[in-house]
Amino acid sequence: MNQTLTEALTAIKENQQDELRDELIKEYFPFIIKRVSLFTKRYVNPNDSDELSVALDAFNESISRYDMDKGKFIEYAKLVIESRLIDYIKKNKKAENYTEELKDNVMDRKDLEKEYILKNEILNLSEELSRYGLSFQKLMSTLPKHQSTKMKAVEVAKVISENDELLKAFRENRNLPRIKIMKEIDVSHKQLKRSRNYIIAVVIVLTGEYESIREYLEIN
Amino acid sequence: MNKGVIVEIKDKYCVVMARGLETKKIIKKEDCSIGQEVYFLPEDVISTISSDWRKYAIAVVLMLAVSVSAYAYQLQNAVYTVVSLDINPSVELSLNRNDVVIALEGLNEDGLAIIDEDMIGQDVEEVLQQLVENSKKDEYLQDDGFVLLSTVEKKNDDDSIDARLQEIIEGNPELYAKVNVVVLEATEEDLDAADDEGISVGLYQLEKLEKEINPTAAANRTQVMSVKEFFYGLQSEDIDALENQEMIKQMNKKNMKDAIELHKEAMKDEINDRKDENGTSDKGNSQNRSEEQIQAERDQEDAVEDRDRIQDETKKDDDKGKPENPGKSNENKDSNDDEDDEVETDD
Repeated sequence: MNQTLTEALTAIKENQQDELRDELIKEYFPFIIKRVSLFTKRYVNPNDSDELSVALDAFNESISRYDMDKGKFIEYAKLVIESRLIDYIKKNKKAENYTEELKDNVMDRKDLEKEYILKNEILNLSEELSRYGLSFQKLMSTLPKHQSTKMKAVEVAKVISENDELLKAFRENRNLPRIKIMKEIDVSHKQLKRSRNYIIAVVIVLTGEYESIREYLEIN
Repeated sequence: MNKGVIVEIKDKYCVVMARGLETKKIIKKEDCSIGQEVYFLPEDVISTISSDWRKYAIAVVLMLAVSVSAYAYQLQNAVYTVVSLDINPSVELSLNRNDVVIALEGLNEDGLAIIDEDMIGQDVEEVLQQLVENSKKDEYLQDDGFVLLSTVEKKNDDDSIDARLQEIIEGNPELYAKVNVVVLEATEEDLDAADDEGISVGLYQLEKLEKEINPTAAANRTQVMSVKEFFYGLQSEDIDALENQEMIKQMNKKNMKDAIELHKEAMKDEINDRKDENGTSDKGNSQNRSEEQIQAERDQEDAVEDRDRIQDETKKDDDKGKPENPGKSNENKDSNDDEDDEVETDD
């Protein structure tokens, strides 16, 4: 691994291979996230994180400037990222007032709105789940573990959400109409029982006003 | 690394929802808010078993528990008895040596509807009670209806389960006195044969009984037997014959006769009602009436459920045994009477 890493780094330097560079950045993305998260003591927001862009630039910079006598590449990259982040914070503090104004007024409005909508949907979903005796936490412990089980559950959930009769029974009884479902789709009693909570949650998300959650969860 | 959205915030952790509605606990960092999208790493995820030593401790305890309880488990979870319940819902219960239900299976759709996984681990008495109550609630079972319990002893040589069932039935007259409970016995071979046919052992035994009591009906049978069909098709002398069958362990002859009689009356009323309806709807069309009446009668014959067909057939069979074969003329007379009735009501 280390051998190939060094090889890759030399290759990038000597031949200016941008593709290889991108690949390396992709590979080390979790590492970069971790550095940022440790530095800010916060989770990194995928949509909007100045610190993340600073760190990405810093990582890119360390690829270009690294050579063998600077020690291990990873240690070196850590150092560069950290110092660039410190620089950024210092600079930011000087211009704090200005940037904050900017943030409030222009940049973040769209993101804030998005986050607000998402938050509302989450709160609504939490409430709707509780009407079925579920919560996010309960969902966690009863999640299907195998990918195939999960796919099947999603398939069942889709069938329910597209079938008026099933949906009606589902909403009235606040439970899966198991026998009716078994008539519509080839699924066993056991599967339905085991994936019950997950199916219920997916049906709710699919049929309710959870536009952002649906988009976000990529189950469509 | 994973992308997710924070959906819940607790004192010591956050709940994050990732792709495919996957929820996970992650450690709390500064400025978490609901609806915030985050990148999170495997190290941020709090596993439900939080530390390694606990994993080892659990493993050791489990191993101990497994080895110690293996013997007890075998005792507790070996199937000693199989009891099948047939109303129309068919359910098969597997009992351990303490008559605790360790497995249950709905053998048809209705059977699936009345069972519940919570029933596993309960005593057979409670489970039977719940099953009968569920059947009543879902209207599979009416007052005076039939409940068939069939027992198969797998490991016990004695018939303790039959005694136990008797105890259970007599112990709860409120529930069981309103219906007719018939207990019959089957062997493991019967159970295997029933499994092969995909029916409950109870129905399998009923088919056997039918062959004994009413061979013609049995020979003409195309569909799977149902409990109602069998019992409501019985004649009074059939019930006497039934009582002498070896496999029958428990039945209340008098109640059964009454119930069957009541059912026949009810069916007759229904047929008459239908005839009346047909008669009145034909009003003013007197020329076609006789033809239509014949048609109506045919329709009724078709419409009356299978059990009645069997009933009629048993009647004919019985009649054949008699010297002058009066069955046919009787039937004709009956229908003539009915026609007369209708004419009167129409006018």
